Amino acid sequence: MKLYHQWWLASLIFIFAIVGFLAAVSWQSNHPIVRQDEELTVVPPPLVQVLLAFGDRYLAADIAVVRSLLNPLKDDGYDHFRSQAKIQLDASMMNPRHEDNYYIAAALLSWSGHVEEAKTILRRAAEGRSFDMLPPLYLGFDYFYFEHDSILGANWMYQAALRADSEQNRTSLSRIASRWLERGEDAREALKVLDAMRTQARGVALKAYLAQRGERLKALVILQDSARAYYIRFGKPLGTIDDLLKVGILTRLPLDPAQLGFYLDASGMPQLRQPPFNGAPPPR
Amino acid sequence: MTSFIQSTWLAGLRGRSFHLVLMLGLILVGWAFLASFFSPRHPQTVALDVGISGIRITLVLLSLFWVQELVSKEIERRTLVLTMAHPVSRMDYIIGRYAGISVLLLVSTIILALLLLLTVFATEGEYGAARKVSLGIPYWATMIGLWLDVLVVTSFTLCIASLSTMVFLPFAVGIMFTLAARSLGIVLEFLFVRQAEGDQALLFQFGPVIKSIRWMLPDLSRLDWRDWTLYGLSPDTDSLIMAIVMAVAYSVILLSLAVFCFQRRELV
Repeated sequence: MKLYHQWWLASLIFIFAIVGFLAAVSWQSNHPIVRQDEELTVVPPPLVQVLLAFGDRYLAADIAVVRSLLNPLKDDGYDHFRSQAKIQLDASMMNPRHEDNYYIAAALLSWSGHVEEAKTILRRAAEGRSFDMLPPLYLGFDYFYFEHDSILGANWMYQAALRADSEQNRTSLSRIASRWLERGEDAREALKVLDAMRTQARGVALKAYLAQRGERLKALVILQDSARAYYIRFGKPLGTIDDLLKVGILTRLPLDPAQLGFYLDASGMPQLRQPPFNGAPPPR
Repeated sequence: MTSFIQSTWLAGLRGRSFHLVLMLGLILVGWAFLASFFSPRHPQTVALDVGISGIRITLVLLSLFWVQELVSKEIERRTLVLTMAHPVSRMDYIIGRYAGISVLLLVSTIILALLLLLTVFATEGEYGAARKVSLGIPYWATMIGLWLDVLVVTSFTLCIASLSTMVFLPFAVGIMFTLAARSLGIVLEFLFVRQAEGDQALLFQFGPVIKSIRWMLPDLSRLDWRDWTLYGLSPDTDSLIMAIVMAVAYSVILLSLAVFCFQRRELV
């Protein structure tokens, strides 16, 4: 009798279990879990990241970069990339040479307003990867485009040119660097960098190109110095560049070897005329 | 002493330890291979990087396992008393066990390194990184660095085992030692090279403590030469030599302490 009761009890529990399981699955099939793309929000301190990676800084850097790669690209917003910028900065401290890390920093962080973080990551990569031309190239671009610092931009671009794997790349990057220098605010500073580039340049054609750019900057320095002298003498900014000849400050105008010429900006200061981007011939 | 080295080697083989090594190796290969898929620009470098980290972790686990199996458990089961009934010194026992485990670890390092090498070859895709990984002398030099690293951990764990009365204590303390010694490098760099990123309060709070700790704890990150194989950047000769001197000297100190403690230990 006792055995008979036990059998019934066991069967009842078994049936209840089956019913319970079916009910649970039925409910779950009508209530799917919808997860939003989870943004990267948790960034432990670097030391904790290293400890979690069993004391291995390289593994910690790999994990941090994978976390950055998995951060959903919802928008280019500054806030969206705040945590990613922090975690990538940590990764660059743990392994400054990580190729994916500097690459996504250049591709994402710079463009989402985290230029400072991107610059730090790229500078560490440029210093750690002496064989790689890309970190200084991206760093130069960040300085030139985001910070409007042509001199530093050109400096880093020139570092990239020195590391270029082919003569063609070296020439192209050096040319970009020299053009950026001409856009700088301080023509004398730009001239110094350009001279250094010319001295170290390999290849006759590139040396000649950089020498021509140097002559152009020297002409600009002469014109700008003369414009300042004009302002001191007459108390007003220069009206046209030819005024320098009329009042006798210059006996002849310096020539532009690139034949692009000069123009006066709003404050009456001579500036270099840049070649048009659409390939049209420059005005003579 | 050679008899203890032989017995450690045979115990390692009979205990099917190499089955464990192969199993961990296969997990490692899978881990490194999968990790390469998470790298858009240099999958081979990432596979090698993650694989080296995997070998570093695996070797420590094997070292702790063997010290526990071949020393701590022998003490606990009193089988050591029978061994010591023979005309052998306790120093021979400790040094012999250490040398035996070192050989087991060397063979494990070679097996794991060969498996990783196959994985790295398998991940060579169409996209090449800015610089290809160097898999010749730099790779094997990195492996020697990992072996030296785990020898320091083994000597520490053996030292704890020589005085511990609990079987699991050497394992637990060994893991803590490994974590601390391997993390010391980045802590020193953060505090003293990067000046705590300008956080003066942190520097004042932890600077003196860490300065003292570095005289007691070896900086095991100095034995991690993977930049050589990953990026072709060899460590300079001075740091290479001083890292080896540090590892050997620290191991000798700990082994001396282990022998000293073990000779004064009650075995029954």
